[in-house]
Amino acid sequence: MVQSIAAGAAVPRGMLIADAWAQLGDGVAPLSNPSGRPLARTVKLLLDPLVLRPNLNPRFAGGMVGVEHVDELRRVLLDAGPALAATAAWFQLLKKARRRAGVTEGNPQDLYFQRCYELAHEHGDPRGVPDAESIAAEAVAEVRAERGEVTVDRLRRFMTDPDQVVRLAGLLQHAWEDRPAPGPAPQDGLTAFLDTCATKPDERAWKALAANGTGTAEAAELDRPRVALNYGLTARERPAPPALGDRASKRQLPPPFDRSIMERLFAAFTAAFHRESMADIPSMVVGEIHRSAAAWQLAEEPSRVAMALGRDASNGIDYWVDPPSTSDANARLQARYAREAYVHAVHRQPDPESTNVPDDLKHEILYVQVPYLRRLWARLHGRELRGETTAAADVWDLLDGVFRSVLLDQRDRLRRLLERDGGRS
Amino acid sequence: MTQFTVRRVRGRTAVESRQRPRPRIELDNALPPDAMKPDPECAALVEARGALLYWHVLDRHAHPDAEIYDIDLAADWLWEIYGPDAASAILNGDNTIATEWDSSVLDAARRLAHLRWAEAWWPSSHAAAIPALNTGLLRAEAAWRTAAVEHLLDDDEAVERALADADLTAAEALDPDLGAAALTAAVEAIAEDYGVELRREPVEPRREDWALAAGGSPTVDFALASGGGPVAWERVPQGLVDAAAGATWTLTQREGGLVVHVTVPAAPEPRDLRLAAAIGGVEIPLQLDPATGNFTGEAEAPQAFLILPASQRELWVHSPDFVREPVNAEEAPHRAAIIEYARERLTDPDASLAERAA
Repeated sequence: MVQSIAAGAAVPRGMLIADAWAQLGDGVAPLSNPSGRPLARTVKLLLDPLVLRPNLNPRFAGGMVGVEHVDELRRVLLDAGPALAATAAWFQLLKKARRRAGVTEGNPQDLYFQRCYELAHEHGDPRGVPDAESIAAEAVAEVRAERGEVTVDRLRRFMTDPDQVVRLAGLLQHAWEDRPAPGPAPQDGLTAFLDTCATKPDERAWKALAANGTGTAEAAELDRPRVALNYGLTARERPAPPALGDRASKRQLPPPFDRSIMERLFAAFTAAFHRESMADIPSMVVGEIHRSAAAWQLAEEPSRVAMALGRDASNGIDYWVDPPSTSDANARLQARYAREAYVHAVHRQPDPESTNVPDDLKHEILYVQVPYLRRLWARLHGRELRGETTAAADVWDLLDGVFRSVLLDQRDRLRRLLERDGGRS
Repeated sequence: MTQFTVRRVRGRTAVESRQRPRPRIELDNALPPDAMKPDPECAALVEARGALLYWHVLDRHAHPDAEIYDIDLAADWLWEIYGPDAASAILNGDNTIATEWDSSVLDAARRLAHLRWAEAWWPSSHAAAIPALNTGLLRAEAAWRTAAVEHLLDDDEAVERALADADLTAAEALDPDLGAAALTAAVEAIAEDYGVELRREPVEPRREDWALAAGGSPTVDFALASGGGPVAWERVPQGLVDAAAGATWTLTQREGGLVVHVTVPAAPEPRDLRLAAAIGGVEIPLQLDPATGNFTGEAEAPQAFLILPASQRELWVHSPDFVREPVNAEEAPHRAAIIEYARERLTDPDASLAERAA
């Protein structure tokens, strides 16, 4: 597949990976898609973080790889071949164990890929391991316990224990009473960062934004009447302390700032997978109480900066007009929304302004910043709970990925209006 | 061999075939890429990472046009669609490329685009003898093709989304000679790999006999005036209105006054959704009448209706879900060609299972 290459040239990374992957043969087929390419999640969960590690090896990052690094990249992948084949074999075993255990929830790639990679390193190829099947069954049971009802049940019991309720309510009250007065807004570096984050993310500028407390300072406006309301973060005039809560369900969650402490943690339990990186339940609850009283109701400064960036990047995005953009990131999100209008027409979807579209959906389409900031908050909240750090290079992926996911959900909801019963049942 | 012009306009790269039918405008280098996109009813799309790929259904070239909005992201997979040489020419700033690249990824992408087109624009019609396609089957095939190109798609949950709509019930009921077994096995394996439970719905008996042609209006009243015309496709959902037959209206005198009656022939196997018609300022809600296979409705008309000039007696049919500005249906340039194309697809051995099984 690789053609003759002139010196100084660069080769698409995807082509190099495809080429090396093909040489790994049938052993990695369970990690491949029907075209024989590594699955998107194979790249995202295995090759990037565990094999190629572009964060440590910038020469393996990006769309193009310099010709002088081609052989090295191929060698790194081929060297990982046996481990990847063992990972693939474990994945097959875990899927079988999952079927046997009747587990249907969650995406097995998300749930098991990295676990299988660990098993591959610990035990090697399962075909040489006598009790491989029971190891696989155990792994499936563990993953299930970490995300499943067991955890939610323990959370519920902890938070409804009468002794705890009194103590936690006191903590919550104090946390909110002790909220610090907002400091002066530092020099705005947000726009400068938004101008380059999609193309040349600047790690120093990103670190400076957090070090200067820009995210916290930008949250000061949220306490003014209707500001957080207009961002869709609360349904109240201004944010108020949340309830502790004693129940939660996946459906119909209120806006982020109106969610009870229980609902916040519940949402993260069901959405997140790497429970092992999360704290134990009592400290998670206490942590969540403090988080709720913090700026943007998030605990870490980089997350708050990301909220401020998301706010500015999504500002002024309008269904009707194409306003002048305020930054490169803002222009990119606007362009995505403009493309969406053409895609709507091609998919022959209902017009959002028609009377048949429910008011809440219509509102979310016309004021897309509202669902956008809600989802961005939930993403950042989940990342905090899992202890994931955000580097400058991840910011645009996050800002753009959240926007995409909001638009695709809107699309699904519009399309359902045209199903046989008109989506009205 | 497909030849393309490559234009770079305001940060975007437009890869545009020279041979492809175009909207009715002259090529101008300053035109934004949007202006060159095919009309919606002809566009078969794939939303790739960093670029929109679009084929024109009336054009038989294998390679799509592209609007590349993030060249770094697109660089990763562009070679899968145009071949390594043409892709590198696009990345290196060439103004023209030509390619004969052929690959299973390109083929899967093209099939996926076509299936999505069929879901939105398949012109099912009694009048033109184009049967309806089975939606569950169409979507099962789309899920299969989606999985084959998931590594280059914009949506990182595209496979899950596609599987959520797939339904293998129809595929399992097909004549084995059509080759549905490969589809069923593949989709089941993909569903397991992504942890999606496939939905299965009992096959609904076809609600009307295929022989039932579009019936005329049952009205026996004496018509004072009448007329009709085609229905604008972009103002109604796919699969409701007969894509080839026209809508008709009649004005009659009843005891209470004037009544305008509208008849719109339904497509084969229509869903029971509401439609509406408008003529001369009168709004007429339409409902499916299963007995005649028509959407019908009537409303009182003012006496002034009789003296309206013919230009204002134009009948507009639309779904309440669609309020965008209509294009004059008579001028819609591609309708006849699309119906002809659909007819060919029904017997094309290379067409999708849903088309061959219809």
